[in-house]
Amino acid sequence: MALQIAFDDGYILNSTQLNNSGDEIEKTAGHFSRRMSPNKRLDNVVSLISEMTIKNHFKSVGGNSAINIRPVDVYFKSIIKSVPWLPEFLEESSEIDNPKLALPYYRKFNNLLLNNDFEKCDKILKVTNTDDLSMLLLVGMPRLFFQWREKLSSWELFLKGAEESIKEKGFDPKVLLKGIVQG
Amino acid sequence: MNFYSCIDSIFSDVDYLCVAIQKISNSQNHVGLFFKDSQDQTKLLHQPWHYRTLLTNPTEEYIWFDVELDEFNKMHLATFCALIAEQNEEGIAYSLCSNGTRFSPDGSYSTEIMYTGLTCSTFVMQVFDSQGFQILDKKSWKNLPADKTWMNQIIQKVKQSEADKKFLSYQRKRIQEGVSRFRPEQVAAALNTINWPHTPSSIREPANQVVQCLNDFEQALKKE
Repeated sequence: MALQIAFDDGYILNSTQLNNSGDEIEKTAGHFSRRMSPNKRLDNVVSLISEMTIKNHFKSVGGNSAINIRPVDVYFKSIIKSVPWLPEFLEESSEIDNPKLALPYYRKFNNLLLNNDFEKCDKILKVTNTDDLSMLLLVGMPRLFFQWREKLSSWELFLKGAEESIKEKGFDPKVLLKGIVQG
Repeated sequence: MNFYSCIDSIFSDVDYLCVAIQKISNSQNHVGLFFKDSQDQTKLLHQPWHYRTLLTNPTEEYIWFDVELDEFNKMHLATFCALIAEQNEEGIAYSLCSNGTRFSPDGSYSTEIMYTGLTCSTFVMQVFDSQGFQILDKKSWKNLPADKTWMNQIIQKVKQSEADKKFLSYQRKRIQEGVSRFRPEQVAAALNTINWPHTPSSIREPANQVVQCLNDFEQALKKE
């Protein structure tokens, strides 16, 4: 299966590279000075790649490494083409912590929804790592999207991720997402 | 119940989102939301009347209360308020019948039923409802015969705003069938207290306290 991993800065790692060499992963990892994504995200990558050897390699890279990867499928490049602001959003998402910073992205999400671009919205939810979202977005994105949840196949997974990330940040998701999640 | 007013506070102190209420007369109040916009300015988002602009600057006739929510949800709702203002520049129909109305995620208002709309109270309720917060348990509200007089007076005023004849006749028909009245003080009190959604009985005392705050503010202004 031809799959790719897209890094935050647009670097694309092909599955052939992954298959061929764990060194490539390590080499790529060296380019990024960010924290490691949680294992659950790595598991997601691995399930996409369907390579247990890669899984073991990623796990061995583990918590002391400094990469931040986003698991995506072969359509990622086309999403970026049609949603050009997505990389910027993913880059800034942890720092969007006030209405001034949030409003431009709320408008962009809503333009997609208004145009019935549910597939693009779905992809955004799919590639967004909830652990990277600010607290404002962790409550705001689920509230914005929940009216359309039946049209978004990634909704359940995204919401679950948001709940876990809220919990990891020391807050109660049942309180912050009241009305959306079961109390 | 703690409230803020121009006597002891300034609008820029509003912490992302507050519920604001104004006394119009002894039997009529008006409710809206103070929120911080993207320029960090405090604005008033409300349903002032039939197809009037929803976004204005706050004025000193209002008192305001904290909304009992965490800062993140208040920030989100403040951002959503800005979207509502942007998407509904023409205003919204003023109607006692709010069935089928909603705000989409982009902030635009829509209704499934022709000739419905929002009052100042149902406007605020709908802002919260569209984001997953049910502040009042609408089903537990009774249609009180005593409210019909007030409703008919409102219809007369809407008529003066050159409302469509069909719009007005729908309002009269619905009033005869029975429409619940949600009072501004009930909405303001609900947002200032926890345990949503409130029933008429659970909100009665807090709503009375809001009215008392309005009266206290009026007296304080007279002394100044």
